[in-house]
Amino acid sequence: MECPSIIVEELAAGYGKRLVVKGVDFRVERGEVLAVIGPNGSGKTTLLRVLAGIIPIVEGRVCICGKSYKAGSLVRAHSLVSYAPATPIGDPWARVRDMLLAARYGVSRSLFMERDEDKCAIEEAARMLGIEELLDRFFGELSSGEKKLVLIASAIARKTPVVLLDEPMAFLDLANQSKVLKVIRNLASKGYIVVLATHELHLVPHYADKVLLISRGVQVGYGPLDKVLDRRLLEHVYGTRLVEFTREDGQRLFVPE
Amino acid sequence: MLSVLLSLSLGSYRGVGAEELFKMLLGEPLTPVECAVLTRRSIRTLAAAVAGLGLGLSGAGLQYVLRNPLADPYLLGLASGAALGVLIGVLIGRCDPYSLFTLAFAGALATFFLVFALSMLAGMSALAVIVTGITVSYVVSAVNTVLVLALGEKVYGTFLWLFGSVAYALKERVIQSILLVSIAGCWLIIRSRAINTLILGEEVASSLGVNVKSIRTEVVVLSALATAGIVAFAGPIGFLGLAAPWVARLAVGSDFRRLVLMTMVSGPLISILSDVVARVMLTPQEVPLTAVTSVVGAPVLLYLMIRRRVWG
Amino acid sequence: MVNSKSIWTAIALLALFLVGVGAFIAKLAADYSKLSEDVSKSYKEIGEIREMMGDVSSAVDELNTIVKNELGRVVEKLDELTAAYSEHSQAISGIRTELINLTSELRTRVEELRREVESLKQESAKNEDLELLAGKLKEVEDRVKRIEEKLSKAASLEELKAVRRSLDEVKRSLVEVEKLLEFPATIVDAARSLVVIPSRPSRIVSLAPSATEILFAINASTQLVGVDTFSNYPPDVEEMKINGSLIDIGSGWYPNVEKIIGLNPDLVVGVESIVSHRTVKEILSRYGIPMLLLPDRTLEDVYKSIIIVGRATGHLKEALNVVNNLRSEITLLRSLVSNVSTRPRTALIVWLSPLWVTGNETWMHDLLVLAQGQNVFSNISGWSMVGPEALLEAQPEVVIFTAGDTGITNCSTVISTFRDVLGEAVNKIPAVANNRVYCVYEEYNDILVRPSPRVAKALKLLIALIHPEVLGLKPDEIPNDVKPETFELPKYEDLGVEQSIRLRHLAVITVKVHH
Repeated sequence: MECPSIIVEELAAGYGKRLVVKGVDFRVERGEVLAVIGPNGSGKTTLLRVLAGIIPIVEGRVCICGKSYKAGSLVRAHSLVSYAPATPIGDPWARVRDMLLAARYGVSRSLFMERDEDKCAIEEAARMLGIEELLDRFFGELSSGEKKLVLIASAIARKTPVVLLDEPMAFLDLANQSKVLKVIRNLASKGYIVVLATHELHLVPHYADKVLLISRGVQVGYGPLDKVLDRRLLEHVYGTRLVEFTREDGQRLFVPE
Repeated sequence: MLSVLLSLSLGSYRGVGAEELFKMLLGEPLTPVECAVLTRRSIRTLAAAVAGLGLGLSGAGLQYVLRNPLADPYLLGLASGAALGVLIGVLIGRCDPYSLFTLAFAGALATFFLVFALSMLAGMSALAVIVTGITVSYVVSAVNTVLVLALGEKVYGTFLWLFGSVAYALKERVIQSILLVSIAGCWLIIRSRAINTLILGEEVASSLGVNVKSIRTEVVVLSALATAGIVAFAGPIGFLGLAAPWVARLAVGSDFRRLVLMTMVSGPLISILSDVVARVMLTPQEVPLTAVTSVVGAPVLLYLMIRRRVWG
Repeated sequence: MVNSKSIWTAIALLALFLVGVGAFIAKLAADYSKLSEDVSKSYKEIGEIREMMGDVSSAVDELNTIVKNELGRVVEKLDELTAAYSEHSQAISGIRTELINLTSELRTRVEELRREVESLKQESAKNEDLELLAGKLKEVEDRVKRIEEKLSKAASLEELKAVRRSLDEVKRSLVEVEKLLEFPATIVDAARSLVVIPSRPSRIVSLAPSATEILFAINASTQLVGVDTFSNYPPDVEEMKINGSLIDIGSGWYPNVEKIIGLNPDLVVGVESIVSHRTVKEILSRYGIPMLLLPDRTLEDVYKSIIIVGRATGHLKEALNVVNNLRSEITLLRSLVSNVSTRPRTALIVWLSPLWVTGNETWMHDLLVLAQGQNVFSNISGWSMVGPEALLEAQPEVVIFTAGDTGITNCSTVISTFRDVLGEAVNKIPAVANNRVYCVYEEYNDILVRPSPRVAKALKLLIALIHPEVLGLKPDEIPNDVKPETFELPKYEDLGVEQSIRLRHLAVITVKVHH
């Protein structure tokens, strides 16, 4: 499915009367990966939730894949968007395979029972994330990392043009983190739009094309990596001293002091 | 289906057994007594089947929509509400079967409306429904206890119903319940894909486009209607709402579509078999169905769980 | 010298002598035989004469008898005629009056039946049979009219006797009509519903021990095919259950519908107070089996239920009999206690823990009142659970506990149970202090807890426990554990109850039977 871009203008959203994000503007094109970074509670998840159509737009406008959504409405682009939450929750008595199949809701062309294309998509996603052996296990039996992989896999299995990942690296060991990294790069190369929220600043340069820096619901930085990944800006936003490292290939990494 | 045959063959009246059943199936004439006994048994079997079907489906739906594997239709206050209706009937002296049925149905629905309203106020989340349901159930049960004490010996004749039994099922009631249960069942099947998504958690389900609140409302209301219809004529038959979906799940997995279909088999199966046992156990004494469903259902469930090693 | 001449002379003389003797003897013999011939001839003649004489005398006798009979008959006829004359003159008017009364009685009876048939015709659709009945009654009415005419003209005893004979015939046909009218029986039972019993039921199932007792009391036991587990009186019931002539259908509290249907009954009898019986009635009606719900709350309900069962089974006369006997006996018992000066506060307990007591609107309460006792829990309706302190508050002077099925075998357990809960305050209860706590078992338990025809005996029992002096007993003579082995209720004869009272009451019964 083709999707040219996501355009967000002056977006404000929140829960009930409380606005968590305000005045967010950005744009992501085909094949681009946007990393949303910022301190805890800055509104990253809220932003993703708006794009996923879980919570409504309070102010502003969102345009996904050419379709525009205005204030007061939900982004009803569910068949074009996939979302994987930060904390892996799910029915502990459910089988992983069933969960992946369930995730194909809205995307699958079957009326009731799954079709071959669903099964293929699932198996492909499972392979990409290396969770083939987990397919017949019960969700409740898995470790948190494995659960995370399952949720990411269910998002990917949908094969939607937009993939939203909330803290995809959380709970994962280094090997899995690199797996996910590869997946993200793969998706981008195939022309998918990927927006993800993350705390792993050191990994951001490995995959992101653009960065959006949010602090307390307000957009304080947006643009290519060099522009946003400035040590003083980051120290200001995160409120802690950082040490900057430069790799051989010129990429810069920031770690707390 | 085998269980249906079994049910029709067994019973208190020794004179009617498998042979008479075959006679009927082959179209041969039966004596009026044999015919009457078989008719009675078939009504009873049908009642048990409908009860198993309704309670099983409701239980399955609620377990998904309330995200609680222990969810059971009586969570919604229906059992205590129906009991309240019956006790009020005894109190005001209207003890004929029609009044009792109407009062039980009304009581069940009234209590449910209370639960529903409170849950809506609390946001209609899974937790809201569960908590309000249990709380209201307890309150109504307390009222019932007082009524039972106050009414003295007149209540004794209703005990079989209060414990749940299909022994005194009337044909029209059963047919009315079939209607409600069918509506609920069809709706559940139609919505089963959406309900299925709930296993990924509410957030992800929402992201898939499923209006979680509205689905929850739908399932809760339909389950309540179906269960109210059943409880009104058979009393609160325990354990079926819990056990039937679980047996089905352990058989075919957690995909709701398959689960629903399997529950439609496991529910009636368990209840019919339990009813046969209840009938024959202490014949001619009538044993409440709940006693048997619990005793029969529990080991089956445990066995299946051990086999699948679901100790998670 | 003896010479031969003299010898020969001697011999010759001897011979002559012998010949002479011989001839003499011969003559004698001849004479004798001639004589005897003559004699026998004479005898014969005499016999013949005698015979003749006999014939004559018997003929004379016959004649005598004939004359006598004729005479007798004439005398009889004369007597008869005189008697008839006197009857005729004195008693004929009496007979006439009697016949007139009888006729008018029959006439009213026929009119009643006519009216009954008319009203039934309006209610029901079974018109041909009713038309037939109506026609029959018309015939009977005409006959009665003719008899009345005849009666007005009848003068002689014969005619009156003929009238009496016709009246008897009419009576017989009326009885037939009445029998036909008995069924289909339409009864309004305790649930205020109309139960129609199309014909005399021959396969009855009883769901309550009281109903079983009633059925036996009114002589309908041959029509019974099934009873509940708890039915045990009269003792025949147990036997019949064993030998299979009565089928045990299980507990009457939650009747097994399938089993009942399997017995193919044409009438099932239940009680109004058990809720499950209503549902069973509804289910059975789907299979065309009529079910009666008997009223079973008060003492009057006992009488009503006996009559209802009587009508339903075609034993109305016996039922009325039983009810009358019951009423008479109860009246008798009431008169016995009418002179007591106290009305002891009594508690009727039916279960110990939790404590269930008897309130008003029960037959037990009614009996207690009749026994000149005061129910301390009369503010409660029906049987209800109360807290043990209620016993303290009520301060009963007599406590009667129906221990039958509770598993308690010793009355001291009851008192110790009270003591456990109430502590030493239990000794303040007059019943405990004066040792007037009674536990009734077995038969005595059954008669108290069932609304059956044995309520008169139950009343007697209550009187014995509350006002023993009325029955000639001393309070110490009554054991705390009241069982048939340890305590016998005094009979009426032993009480010296005046024959006249008894006879008066029996007379009341007799008059009422000629209904």
